[in-house]
Amino acid sequence: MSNYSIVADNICFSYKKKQALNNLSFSLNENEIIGLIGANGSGKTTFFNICNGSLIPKSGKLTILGEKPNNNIALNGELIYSNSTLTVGEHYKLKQILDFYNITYPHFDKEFANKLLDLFKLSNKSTVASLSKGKKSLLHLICALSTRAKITCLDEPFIGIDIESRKLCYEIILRDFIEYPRTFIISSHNLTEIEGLLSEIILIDDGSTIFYEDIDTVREMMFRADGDNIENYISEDIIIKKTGELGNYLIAKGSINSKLAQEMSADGFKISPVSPEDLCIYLTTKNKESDLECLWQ
Amino acid sequence: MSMAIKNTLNLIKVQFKQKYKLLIYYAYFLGFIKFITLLFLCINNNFNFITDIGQNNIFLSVIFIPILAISSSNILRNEELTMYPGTIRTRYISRILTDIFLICSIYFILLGINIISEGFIYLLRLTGQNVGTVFLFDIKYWLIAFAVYVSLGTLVYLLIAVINTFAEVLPHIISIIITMVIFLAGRFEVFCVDTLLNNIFDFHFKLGMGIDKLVLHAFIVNTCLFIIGVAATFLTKTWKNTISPPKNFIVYLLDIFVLIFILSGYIIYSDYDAYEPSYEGRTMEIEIPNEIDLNNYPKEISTDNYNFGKLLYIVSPDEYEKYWEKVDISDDKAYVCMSMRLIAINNKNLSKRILENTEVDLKNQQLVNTNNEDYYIINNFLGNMYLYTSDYNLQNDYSYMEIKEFNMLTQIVYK
Repeated sequence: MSNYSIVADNICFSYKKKQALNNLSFSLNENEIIGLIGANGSGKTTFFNICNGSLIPKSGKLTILGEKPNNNIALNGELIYSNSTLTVGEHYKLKQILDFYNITYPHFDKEFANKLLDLFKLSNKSTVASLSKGKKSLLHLICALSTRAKITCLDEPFIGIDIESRKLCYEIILRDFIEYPRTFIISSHNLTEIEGLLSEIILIDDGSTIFYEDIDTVREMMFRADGDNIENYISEDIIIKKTGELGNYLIAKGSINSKLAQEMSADGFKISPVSPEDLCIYLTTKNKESDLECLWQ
Repeated sequence: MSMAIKNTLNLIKVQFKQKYKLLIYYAYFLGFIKFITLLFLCINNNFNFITDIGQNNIFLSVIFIPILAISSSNILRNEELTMYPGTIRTRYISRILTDIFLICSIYFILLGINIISEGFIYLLRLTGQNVGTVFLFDIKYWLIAFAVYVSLGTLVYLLIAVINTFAEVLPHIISIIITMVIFLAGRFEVFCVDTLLNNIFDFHFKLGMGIDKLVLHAFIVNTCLFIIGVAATFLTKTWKNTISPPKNFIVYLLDIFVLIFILSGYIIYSDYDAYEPSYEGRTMEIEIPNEIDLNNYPKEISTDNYNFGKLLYIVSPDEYEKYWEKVDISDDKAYVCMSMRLIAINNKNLSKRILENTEVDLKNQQLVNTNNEDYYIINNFLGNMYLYTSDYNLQNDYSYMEIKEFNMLTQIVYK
């Protein structure tokens, strides 16, 4: 039996003329907390929708726990896709929502869900309509966690949640993961905040995989060198060179212990690791300096 | 139990829990309307004011169908189900089954409230109130009425669901055309059978083909249409196999248009669908004073003077002979023979009741009809009430909204 939770093999999907996924391929390990990172429109939600069977790829193959997701009821019960924009029904009370999940998900832990509602001070007698945006996000997250589904896909789960509750959410996810190991796939634009939660990161851009690595590897994928005379350095590993009033720096592939980094350090450059969030930006950004400058011309 | 069935049942449970409040609101609403109806009945016997709303259950039942029908415009997306485990098939089937279950529940509530209402009217009758019930203990009547409503409700719902399903993969206008073809094909079949039966009236009558059989027939056809429609939508949906984005608002407008079209069709259909002929005769003795020369009276007196307008129907001599009872004639008495052919809805032989309470007297050397008993006959479930009054001037007081034809003959038989 494979140790992969999800295997995507050259998946393509398009909405009319817009190509959402373009030969997306990776094999996600089981029982990890994986960050699915990508810019808006990079194909994250489309990928989730294919996982939960709402969409069928135009080509390629996707297997979840070794099975195809579409029209697979057994698998459906082992996979939860949570997104704060899902319509649960505004006029229902929270206890009704928990009831619905309890009926449909085989491993739903209603007691746990009620405890989480109490923890976040959500009355189960309130209606969904009466909740703020952040509280609705919390509700979705609580339901998703309580399903104890083997594959838990959280699509921007922390939108609108205040910082205190977010920190609490991270801790709950981590502790619940330890108690009930399973695969979490979390997409978020705030990678810095959830970095400590993740064990692996997958970066996608324009519907294709840029990389899929564990978090420690990602932290050592690039370094930043600040100092003068960066023009003197020429290497295939250098991705960005920037000079300006705010300082000169370059971004290059490799860890801070790489040969280039060591060399530059010896030349007096300040060497620092590139955070995963910045890394993702450097690898996917399409904006140029001139794009900004033209705004004020 | 297979996973698919279990999943479907789970989704039905969820959807029923999501929608059951509609039933409660409807029961409250219906109960309120009936309560007001009965209140007026107790206070001043003013039926005319409340006839259309209080007693017309078609109106009451139709209120609910558009709610379900319009809500079926999201039948393919089922947004409120997408976060729960299920396939497109189980979500779709569970949605349809839930809605059908709700429709049946609605009509079950309607049935219960009508029986209670009828029982109340029955009690009023026992206390001498000017009202009558003829359906209270007629289980067959209630079952037929229930079947009619379920049949109508499910069919209307299905049509909207079919349109919405086809509309996902086809241009909307084509989906409407396909739906109409399915609908009209079924209707045509019913029409052929009914036309045949109605055109050969006696054949119809001799067969004993009552309203119950016609309704049963329509019910079976509707059910078949329903199954065909579900199968068609299911296959279409499975073929498409994805969740589609919401449709434009025009879809809702088209749905409403189709709904109105169908209901209009149903009303026209029900106009000719619900005939039940019955022939009744009664013989009554009248003392004829010697000074009256009976030779001046015609042997047959038609009811032209009642001026029933186009409702008046005179039976042909052949039919007259067929159903007319020959009576014995004694030397010193004349006999008034009354025959009534009255076609009423719901298999209720009202002509017999009318005849039993009608007297013919000689007043100022004129034969006059008098009705000795008056009360309202309330067709509580399948239509409006109609009034039965003692006033011999029947043309003013006798309203029989669903009595399709009325004929009354009196015959003076004398020696």
